[in-house]
Amino acid sequence: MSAFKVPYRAVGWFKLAIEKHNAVVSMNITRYHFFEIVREKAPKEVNVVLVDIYTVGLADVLQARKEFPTATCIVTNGDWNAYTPEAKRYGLDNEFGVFTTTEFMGALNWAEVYKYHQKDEDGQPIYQTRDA
Amino acid sequence: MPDWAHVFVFGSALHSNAPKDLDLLVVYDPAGCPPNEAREKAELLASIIGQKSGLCPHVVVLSIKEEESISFIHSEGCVPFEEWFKNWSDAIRNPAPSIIDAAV
Repeated sequence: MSAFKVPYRAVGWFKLAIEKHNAVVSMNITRYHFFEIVREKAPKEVNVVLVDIYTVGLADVLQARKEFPTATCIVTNGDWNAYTPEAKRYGLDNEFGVFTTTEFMGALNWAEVYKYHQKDEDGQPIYQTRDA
Repeated sequence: MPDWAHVFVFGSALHSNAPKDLDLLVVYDPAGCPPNEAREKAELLASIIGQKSGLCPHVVVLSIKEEESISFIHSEGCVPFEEWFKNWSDAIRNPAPSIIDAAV
């Protein structure tokens, strides 16, 4: 049993969004909120743990990796959700994607998915961290 | 509450006596609870709180350092769980009169 509670509507919405994504060839939901995605371009496999947490912390990233050893990303549903700077830092240091859903849709177009970030007007990275 | 964590309430439960769910913040001390165990332990704690309150808990789990870095308690107006639970229990037992009751 997963330590994450993910509402069915979140799983359903995410599934539809992935199915429509141009970079995606196929998708397999192997466990309730674990998505194995195959992309057109290499590296093809992207394995996602979907959660619905207001602020994803380092504990959530480590829990996701513990429960789903083949996961390459954790994605928190909805753009009102976010993550801590520590969770993102861990992800960047360990090549593990930490994203909101909108970010993840962009990340699917990047070769190195975990590195994806939006940019500000000056081209600097923007991360969807929960700010003080 | 366990000595490795402090539990707070935030969100709609602070403004309603009949919230749809219960947003909880669990701030853990990594010295007493390793980060890779914190989510599981926090969920266990939340399930006990959920049974006690009859509300469905949603849990944010942050280390002390993470909480400090984003000032979650301050920015979300979090209230310690014990304080919230006492006030909420009192309110449930002695509900405030409705506008109609007050008018009569």
